[in-house]
Amino acid sequence: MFRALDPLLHSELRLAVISLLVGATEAEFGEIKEKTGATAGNLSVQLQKLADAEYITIRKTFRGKYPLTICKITKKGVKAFEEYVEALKDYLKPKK
Amino acid sequence: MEEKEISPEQSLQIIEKMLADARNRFCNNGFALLFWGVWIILMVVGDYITSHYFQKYYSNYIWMISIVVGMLFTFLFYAFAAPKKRVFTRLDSINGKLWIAFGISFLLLMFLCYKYKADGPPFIYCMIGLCMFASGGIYKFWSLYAGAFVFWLGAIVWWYFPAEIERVILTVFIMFLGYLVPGYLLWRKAKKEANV
Repeated sequence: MFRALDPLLHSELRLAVISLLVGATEAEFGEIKEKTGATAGNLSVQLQKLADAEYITIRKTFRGKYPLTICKITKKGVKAFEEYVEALKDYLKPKK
Repeated sequence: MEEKEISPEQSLQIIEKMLADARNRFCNNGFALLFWGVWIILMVVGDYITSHYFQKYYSNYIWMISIVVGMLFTFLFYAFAAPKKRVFTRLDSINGKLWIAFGISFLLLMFLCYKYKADGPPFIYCMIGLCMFASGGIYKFWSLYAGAFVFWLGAIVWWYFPAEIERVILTVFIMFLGYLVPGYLLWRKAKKEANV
């Protein structure tokens, strides 16, 4: 019996964001946008969904005169990612 | 990238790619290596000059004060200046702890060398080699591995150059190849990726 994959993470962009943050802990909006190749609008929506689920936190600040958005993964986000990877292993095991 | 359904294989590919990207994304722009490379060269040369043209008494003070000032400067840079430019990654944090451990071990080693009247540099070079090698593994950056071998080699070669001027030249040579060259390559990589 396959475990269900977390629907929030089982999406190309959200999974990419979480994977990046698992490795980096924190990242700026501009960098996530560059690394994922997503549009700013779409990325904002997906980041908000992850933040609503408390997988990440979004901090808005300033660098000099310019606004700066920093995303940081939470413990809940790391746990969700680990569970997602565990569940994913079931799907990737060779069929007997 | 869009919000669309993906297969487990695609999921795995995304995870692998993003984790690899995160691994290559680091704050380390070689500042510490460049700073300490130049700082130690200045200390060695300063020590040589004071011990020959002034009273030998000043020599120990130069080392002691310079090392403490260097440590303070490095701490202030990484605690206050660097975070304004860039957020630290988990790798940066691990690397930072490694070098903090080195700093503590270094001070203890200096104390032990003083107590046992042992020549410090070869032991220090061994420790620096260990930390450089570990940093190379953390960042997967080959020049740090090369730097580690320079220090290990320097620890062995040290005994073959007993004269003071030879050791000054050797130290400058080791710092240049072991710290400054890898530091410059890190700086160049960070600048290229706009990760400074």
